[in-house]
Amino acid sequence: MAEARHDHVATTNRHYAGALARAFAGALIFSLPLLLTMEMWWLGFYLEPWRLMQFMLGNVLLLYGLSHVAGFEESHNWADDILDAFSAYLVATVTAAAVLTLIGALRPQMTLGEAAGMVAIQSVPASFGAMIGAKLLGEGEEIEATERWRETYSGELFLMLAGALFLSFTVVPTEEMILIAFQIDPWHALATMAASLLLLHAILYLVGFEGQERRIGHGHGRALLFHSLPGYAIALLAAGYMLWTFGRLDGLDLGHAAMAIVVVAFPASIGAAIAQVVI
Amino acid sequence: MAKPSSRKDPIPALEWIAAALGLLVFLGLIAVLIREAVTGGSDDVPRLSARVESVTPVADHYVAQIVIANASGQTAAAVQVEGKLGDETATATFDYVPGKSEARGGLLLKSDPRAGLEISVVGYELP
Repeated sequence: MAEARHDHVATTNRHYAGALARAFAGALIFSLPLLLTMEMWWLGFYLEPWRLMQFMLGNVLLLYGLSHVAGFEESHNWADDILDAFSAYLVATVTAAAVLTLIGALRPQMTLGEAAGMVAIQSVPASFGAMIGAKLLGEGEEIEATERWRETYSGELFLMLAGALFLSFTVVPTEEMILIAFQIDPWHALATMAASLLLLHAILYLVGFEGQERRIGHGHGRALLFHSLPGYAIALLAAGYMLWTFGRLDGLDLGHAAMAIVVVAFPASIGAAIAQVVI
Repeated sequence: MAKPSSRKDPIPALEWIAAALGLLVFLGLIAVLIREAVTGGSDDVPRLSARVESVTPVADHYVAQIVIANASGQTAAAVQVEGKLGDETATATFDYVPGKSEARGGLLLKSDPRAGLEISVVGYELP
């Protein structure tokens, strides 16, 4: 038992079963609010299949990256990261299918295509939870200590991308994102951009979350230029990608599309900053 | 104490099984979606039809249970169905009728719908 605590590489079936069980807990925490949202059930059957497929492929790539940075068990190499990515995917699909069945959203009369779409889309947030939930629930210090990539610049940007994508995902399915883009004027959008960037910078470098000293390095100017600004750019990209994937940009003119992206990038930039702190 | 970078630790069988199942589920979902993409063109027009499935008398009225079928791959939202029986009209709205699928609902009528109820789909919205 004590051995299992210190050595986070699961080497026996029993240790791995424990890691998987924690992954289920993580998947539930991350995905339950979305599993209980009706817009999310419908997305699965009105999105074009090719949009869903590119989203699933992106999801698996992201899982691989997350396993590299902070997986649900310590991984030794790329092969282990691939195994963990697909294990997390299994946990996510089982969680999504089980909860959707429990709440009657997934019904036997549905066609295979509808059911597949519904499970595929819900598996995305669940798989994030499966991969990193265990760490957020306090399993992580040893895992973190041995995953070196997170300390590098590319690792940092990747974490921001993961956080931005997850937070975007939680808001993009709702009708409100488009409604907000129609009710604000360009000045609101510019103010939202400034607020997003400042909040992202503040969370990373001002309010004293763990690791702030290490992150600040060469002062606020450089931190803003090389970390916060690229972080915000990543949040904008993540927001645009999510809106496009969910078909929310279809038929919008450039101005309103830009405003919708700025609106979604607001939670996305908070997600980007928090991901660096907690993952 | 653990030497994580050394590759001597065996990967447990369960890890292989979980990953293999995960890959299988992933490929299975992709296969179903490819089939959907090939069989149902998405920029089609929804092809909706309505029929009465059964009629149940309840208290002082009748319930005609109806099925809306969508023969095309294009999902329709806010589908409105109207039933006419003599000078009586009943309507129902369906949130979604997914492509290649059916949705169920009911029309409430005072007189027996078996005496010539005419139902038609009168409108929809694209999601």
